[in-house]
Amino acid sequence: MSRQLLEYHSVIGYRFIPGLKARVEHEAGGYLVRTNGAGFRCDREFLPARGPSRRALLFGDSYTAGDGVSNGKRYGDLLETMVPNLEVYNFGLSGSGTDQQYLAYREFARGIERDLVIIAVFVENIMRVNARYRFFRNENNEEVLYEKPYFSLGAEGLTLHGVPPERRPLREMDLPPDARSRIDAGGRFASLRLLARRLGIKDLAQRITRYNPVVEYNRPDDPRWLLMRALLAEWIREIGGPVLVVPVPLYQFIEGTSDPSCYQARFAELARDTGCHLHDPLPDLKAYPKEERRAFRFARDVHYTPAGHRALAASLAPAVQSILDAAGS
Amino acid sequence: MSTTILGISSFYHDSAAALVRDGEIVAAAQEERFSRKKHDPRFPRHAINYCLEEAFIEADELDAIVFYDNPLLTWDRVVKNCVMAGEPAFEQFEKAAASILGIKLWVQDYARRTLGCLGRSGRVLFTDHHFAHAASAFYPSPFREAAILTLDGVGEWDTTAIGRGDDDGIELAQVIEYPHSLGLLYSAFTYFCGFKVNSGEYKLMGLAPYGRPVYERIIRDNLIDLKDDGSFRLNMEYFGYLDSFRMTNERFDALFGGPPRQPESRITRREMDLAMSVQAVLEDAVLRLARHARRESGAPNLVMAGGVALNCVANGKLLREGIFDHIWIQPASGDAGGALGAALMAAHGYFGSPRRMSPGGRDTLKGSYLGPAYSSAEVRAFLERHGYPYERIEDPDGRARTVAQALADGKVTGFLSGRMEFGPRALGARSIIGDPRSETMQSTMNLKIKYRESFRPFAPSCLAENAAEYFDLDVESPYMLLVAPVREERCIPFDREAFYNNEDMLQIINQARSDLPAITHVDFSARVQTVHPDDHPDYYRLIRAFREITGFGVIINTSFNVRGEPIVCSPADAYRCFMRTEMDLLVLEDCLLWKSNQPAFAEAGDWRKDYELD
Amino acid sequence: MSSIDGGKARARVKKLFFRKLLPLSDMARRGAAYFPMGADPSAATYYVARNATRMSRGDFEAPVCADENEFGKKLAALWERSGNPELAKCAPEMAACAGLLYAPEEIDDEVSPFIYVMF
Repeated sequence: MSRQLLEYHSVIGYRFIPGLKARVEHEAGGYLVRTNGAGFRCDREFLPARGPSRRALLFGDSYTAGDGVSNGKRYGDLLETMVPNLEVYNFGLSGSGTDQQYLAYREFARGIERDLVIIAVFVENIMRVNARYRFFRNENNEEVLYEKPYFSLGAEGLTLHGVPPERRPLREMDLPPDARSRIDAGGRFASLRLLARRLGIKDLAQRITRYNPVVEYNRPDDPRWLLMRALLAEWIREIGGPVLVVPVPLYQFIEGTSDPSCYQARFAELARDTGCHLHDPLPDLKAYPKEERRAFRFARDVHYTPAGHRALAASLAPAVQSILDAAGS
Repeated sequence: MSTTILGISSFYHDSAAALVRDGEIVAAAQEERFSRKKHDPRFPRHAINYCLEEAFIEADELDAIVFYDNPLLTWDRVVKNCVMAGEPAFEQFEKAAASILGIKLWVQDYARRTLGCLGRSGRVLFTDHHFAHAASAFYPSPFREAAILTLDGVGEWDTTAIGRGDDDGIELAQVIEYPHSLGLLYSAFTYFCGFKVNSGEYKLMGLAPYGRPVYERIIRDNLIDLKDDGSFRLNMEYFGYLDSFRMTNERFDALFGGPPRQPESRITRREMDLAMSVQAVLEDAVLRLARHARRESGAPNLVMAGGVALNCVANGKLLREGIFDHIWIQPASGDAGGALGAALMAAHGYFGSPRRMSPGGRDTLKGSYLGPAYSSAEVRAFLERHGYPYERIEDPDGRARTVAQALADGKVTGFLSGRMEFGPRALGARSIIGDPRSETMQSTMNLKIKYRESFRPFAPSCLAENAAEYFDLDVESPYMLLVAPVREERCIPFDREAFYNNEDMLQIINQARSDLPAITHVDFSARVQTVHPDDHPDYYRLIRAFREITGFGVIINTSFNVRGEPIVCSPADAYRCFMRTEMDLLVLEDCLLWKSNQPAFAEAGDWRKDYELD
Repeated sequence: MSSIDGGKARARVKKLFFRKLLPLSDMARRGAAYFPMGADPSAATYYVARNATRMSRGDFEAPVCADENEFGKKLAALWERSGNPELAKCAPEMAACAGLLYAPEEIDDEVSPFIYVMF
């Protein structure tokens, strides 16, 4: 029933419709969405030249775009209230992979003056980076398949494919068999997860099985991680200035259901090798009492609640301030 | 300090939500437009979502949530009704218990579940039903003081209320109580003539000019005792609504020569004459009520609301009678308007917000364009994503000229422009428009585009300043709530008596009745919308362009839907309706889509089954 | 718009109607009618003058019922005030029915975590 929020983009695949003011119905009541003239969910218009404020460009997926919460309640907006003299340009794009976020940087942010670029990698994004197709819902609440741009990693480095992506939805049955394995259906074991959820045992089942939602990080030489790593490394190189990488944890890690050590190790390696700043918010988030941690996500929707965003912002703010202060900006 | 109030009407018929900030109407919309279920009675969560979107506020910023009806008093009436009716009323009681005890009573819980909170007050407030109607009529009106007349089926106990509004607020002094109701009387005839209660009343009114008032005396002698002061009582021996789900009973059947007409069966002379007869009685009652209201209130102006106030034929008579200097009628007069009234009533009556008057002397309803708008960017995002071919004309005058020329060429056009209308009428924001000069346009648009009964007339939209060129009308009618005669010199006399004897409605429909045949009803009347440039500049511009091309500053305006479908809301709704019908052109803001350029529109199943016929 | 699904609630409503309300019908028919059923030739007018012609702040708040118990109490008070003690006695049973009948529409917000509404 809500408005159409996204529109086709010939490089990224899609972006928010520019100049939108919408309220999205949601289990917690609903949330307000405002987009700027560039088609990003940011209350600020993107200006190339920096003013007197310190400026951070923030990239990420729905956790950064703020699905489930109004603009002002997102961690990116809260950072502005916690770090003096800071303005945050939020480039978060719901449903996107890190590859599309990188393309968004290239398309919209390269020429924007900034003091810091924050790349918030929702750790599940590694699946999207390795996918060529994703399911979305159309206005009739039907699942439809769309092509996305993607990179491959070869001897010469990264190669971009699928640009421009097909505008219209595809049918899974029309894809060749090898392509079907490149559909991101939204996490591992999608149908099992749905069944467990309907039975009301999803959380319990994940706890008992020590479910690992992101096996792609298990080994440093996993080709899926290598692609993700190459992408981040190239992006960090291209930025040239201060970059802060933030692995945004899935709720299973925050609530202690799953072991985060593999993905933490991979991001540590990335930081060591690229020289970027790394802030892992998980220890801070896990320090909250159990009940509070559960309240970081909604009853059904796994996106962060306003409390989750507040906790993430509180963890992030000192790191951001420290980098900005060190850079003398 | 700013005060923001959300009004809600729901759980009976045509749920809606409205938002008022410091006395200013910010947004209002019916749930059916979003849910796509005609007259949707469910809790209006989509409409509420829209209202908060338009105001761009969080739910916890609401100072109050106000419901348009008092469930305690409604239950009181239901219980007493069923006690009076005895055992036969059990089924009715069972249904009412489910509806009121099981749902309506819990409106506060529904609100909390939908919004996640109850706003700053932490509870839902309530207004009396007729106070909500009265507030919806008085507060947006252009009058500092006015008599108030509300008329509907029933709200709590009241079916009719007379009062006064002024700087001190709203006062309702006299009422007529259930089961004596002009609304229910009219609905009884609607039912008896084979139309659906709560939506078919409009058809009965449209049918009336085909008939003669041959049953008027029988109605007066048997069904209603109408006093000179406009007060009345019905004779409940003839009605079924006390103890059954039928509006009428066997005695009623006997009075009018047999059982009710079966829905969708052929309309006979009896139904046409019944329609005219009850219309005549209704008009007489309304005039008497109005005279009484004038005497009691001493006010020179009248405001009206309630479902009966949508009877624009009666409204036109009332205007021409000159009982009041001016009248103003709430266009969302049915239950949906109760949401707006509840919010306004609380704004002024509970929070003491000062009343806002328009400095220009016009009303403050903003043309009733209180629903969602879709930007050009949103429209193009929709079209691009689906690959629908379109032509964008950004220049408003150029666009108006192109569309006007298409109309003049006989093209039927779907027109989505600006904020959606609140209330049952399309006023140029979600309209199907056409050339009124065509003799066959009425039947063509009814049968090929609206898929509805061929006898139903279309309404004209004209430039406010040119209305008198076409109609005997010397006031604005921005909400299509006044019926006025087409100017005599434009009319073409025909033999009505011959028609009265053969029942063939198509014969008369396709007969030229004026130089604007598609909008001239069989009694040479028209349900006029006057368009003011301040209310809807694009629509005004379009009619002006049509005038420049054809010399006629009038176009056909009918709601953008097919029979049984809620009026379209979004570009997606509009495109779907466009492709399902024989419309030629679709205007979505500044994008024009020609049917001939569109790809084949494939749908699973028969869409006609999605809509229950009204 | 609604019908009763639950067997328990249905039985309770039926009991309420047949055991509590129907016996009052005879009384109503014998002359203590709750409303007139037709014309009254002797009446000069059929208008009823409202006792309170304006809505007070209290009127906005009066119907608020947090639960069925509050509903029962308010209903009983309403009927005591309006001179209908025979109905006031039925109020607790009606409140009990209200508690049984309440079954809010489930809002289907099945959110697949990473499947987005796009177009």
